Amino acid sequence: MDKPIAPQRWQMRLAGLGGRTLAIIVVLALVVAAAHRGAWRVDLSPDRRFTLDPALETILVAQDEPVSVVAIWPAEADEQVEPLVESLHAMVRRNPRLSYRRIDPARDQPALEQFAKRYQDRSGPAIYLCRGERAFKITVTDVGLSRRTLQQDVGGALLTLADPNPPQARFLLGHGELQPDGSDDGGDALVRALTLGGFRTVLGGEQPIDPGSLLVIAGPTGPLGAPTIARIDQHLVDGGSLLVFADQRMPADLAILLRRHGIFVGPGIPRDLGDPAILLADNPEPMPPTDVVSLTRNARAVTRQAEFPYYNLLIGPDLLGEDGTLHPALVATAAARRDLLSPGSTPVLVLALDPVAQRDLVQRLAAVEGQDVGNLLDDVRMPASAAHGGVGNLGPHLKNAQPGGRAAFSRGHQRGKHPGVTVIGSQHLLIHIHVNPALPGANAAWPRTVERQRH
Amino acid sequence: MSATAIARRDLIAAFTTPLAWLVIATWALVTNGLFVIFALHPYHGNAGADQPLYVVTLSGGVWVLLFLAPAITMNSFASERAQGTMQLLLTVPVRETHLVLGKFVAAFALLGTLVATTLVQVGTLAVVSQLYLPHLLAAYGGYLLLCALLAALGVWISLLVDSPVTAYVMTFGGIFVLLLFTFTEPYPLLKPLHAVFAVLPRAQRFLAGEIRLADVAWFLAATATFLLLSHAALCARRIHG
Repeated sequence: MDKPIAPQRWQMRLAGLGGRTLAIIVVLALVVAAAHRGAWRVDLSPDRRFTLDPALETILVAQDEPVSVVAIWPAEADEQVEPLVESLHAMVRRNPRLSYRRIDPARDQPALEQFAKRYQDRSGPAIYLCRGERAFKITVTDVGLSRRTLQQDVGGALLTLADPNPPQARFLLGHGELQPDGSDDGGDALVRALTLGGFRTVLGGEQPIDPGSLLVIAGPTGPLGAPTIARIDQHLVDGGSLLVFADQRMPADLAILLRRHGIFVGPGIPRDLGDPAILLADNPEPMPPTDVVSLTRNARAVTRQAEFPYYNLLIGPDLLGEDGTLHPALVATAAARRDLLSPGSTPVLVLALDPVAQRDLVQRLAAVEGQDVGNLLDDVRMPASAAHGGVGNLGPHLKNAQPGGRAAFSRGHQRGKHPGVTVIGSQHLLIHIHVNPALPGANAAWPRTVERQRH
Repeated sequence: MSATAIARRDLIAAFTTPLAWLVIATWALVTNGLFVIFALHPYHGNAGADQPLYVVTLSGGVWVLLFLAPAITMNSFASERAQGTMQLLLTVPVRETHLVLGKFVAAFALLGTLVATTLVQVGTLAVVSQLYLPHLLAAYGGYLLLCALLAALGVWISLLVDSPVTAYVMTFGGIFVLLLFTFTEPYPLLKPLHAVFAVLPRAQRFLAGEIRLADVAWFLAATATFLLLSHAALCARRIHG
């Protein structure tokens, strides 16, 4: 009978070696798995983008009603927008009343239809914060809605949605403006955008304008008339805000009114921008309509996203300067400690500036100004901070806001106080921004116009 | 002979041949070119920029490193075999652990030299711009962890094949496979592989200034795994002959 062949010694040693190696690798895998479950992390980014701001945490924790965060984009885009998804999950974890879900427009048609029926909107890519029957839309643009700006937007949106008396957006009608009546001229899109930006919209009416409200003049083509101009002027003097969509067709009386408030637009653009007297002149010699000074480097992305068909109003670059330098008008404004965009007096304005462009602006201003630039743009107030300029953290309008209280926007501008700029809305609304170059300390050598085209 | 002595021997050998200098020159040319184009160009810092300038070229450099790393590591053991010195090396009184660690440290130091050359860019930006040191440290920490992983992978593969060229090709293939896992997330069947093996997202998180314990553990564990495999392969060679 044959004896069983004993394994050779070297085979035993090899088996032992393999077993030990495998065991250590398994232990290493378990360590990695444990580390993964622990989710411990350190945020060393300059703007602390991986950390929820304490102000936002307070707002999140204070939510006393269910809020659903609904993302509308294709499932394939999840990886592309992973930072946003991750941030949203982190926010939702702070309060069980908050929930998150993604609707894929191609695969979740019933859910999308249901959502559209309830909130009158279904366009993506976007993030909607829904509380009861109200929703707030945060558009996701390809130029990047960063973790930081997302925090600002979500914080502002939650405050706005919790506000039982949201700020009013009052539409001026009857002068050739866009008609929010179901026609296809974009008026309905504008109303919807403002509603999804936290406003309660009111169409027309002759009653006095609440100074805390936003007056919307969307593309007027006929004269407004002296009484209406006087009402608008009083509204501005009282610290109210004004959103104007306009081009060359805009009536001269409105253009002259805006010019008195330091904004040059359409027929109100004078030939001699360097003469401060033109601010008060009723009929200075007009500049050719192709000469404008405008801001917003990022109009490209905004126009692609825009639902608002008034594209010819979306004048693009470039107050920031084609060569990467800051336009002297902005430098002078910052140096003079004046309001950034409306150096005249009251906070007329006019825009929803892309948040990335705002951040870029702040960074560039920081290079000119030093440490205080954040304060300069903290004067910017808005409901959802879509254009918030704070670099390192949320601005005081969120920090000081009481959860459940009124949105920061509704604080409005106080008469006789430091002039501020009111930036409203979300990224898909945009309009001319004109800087009054007749500023103290302005350099006479700076170019009077930086852009010579009108789209 | 200790691991240090082996590492020193390999480093001296590397710097006395043109290959290491060629790799460093290529690296410096490409990364500095990226730096000039993307960081010093007048259009730098445009509105879409989401990363500080000092991270921009490091992000691009990761890709370059993945291509160049095999050229550094291919000589670890494969050249010993190609030159006929492998048997001699196996007979010297040195533990397998020290042998593997020595080779690894040499490869890691060479890759670290590549990374160190990018400090010139940081210095330049420190003059004309602002740096945020903690973020910079996170980015370079991630870089070094990636270098350690690539060095360990290269040493292991170099031990398995007979010639440096084969080692280069095989190492590049291994890195390519790791890269492939970066792009498998959208496919449900392959998503778990992405979660376990994808290397680029982990490296990018360091560059963004986010240090996750899971990522650190993953890089260290992956490096240790390849070193263990190298150690096992070397022991097996000594046991079996």
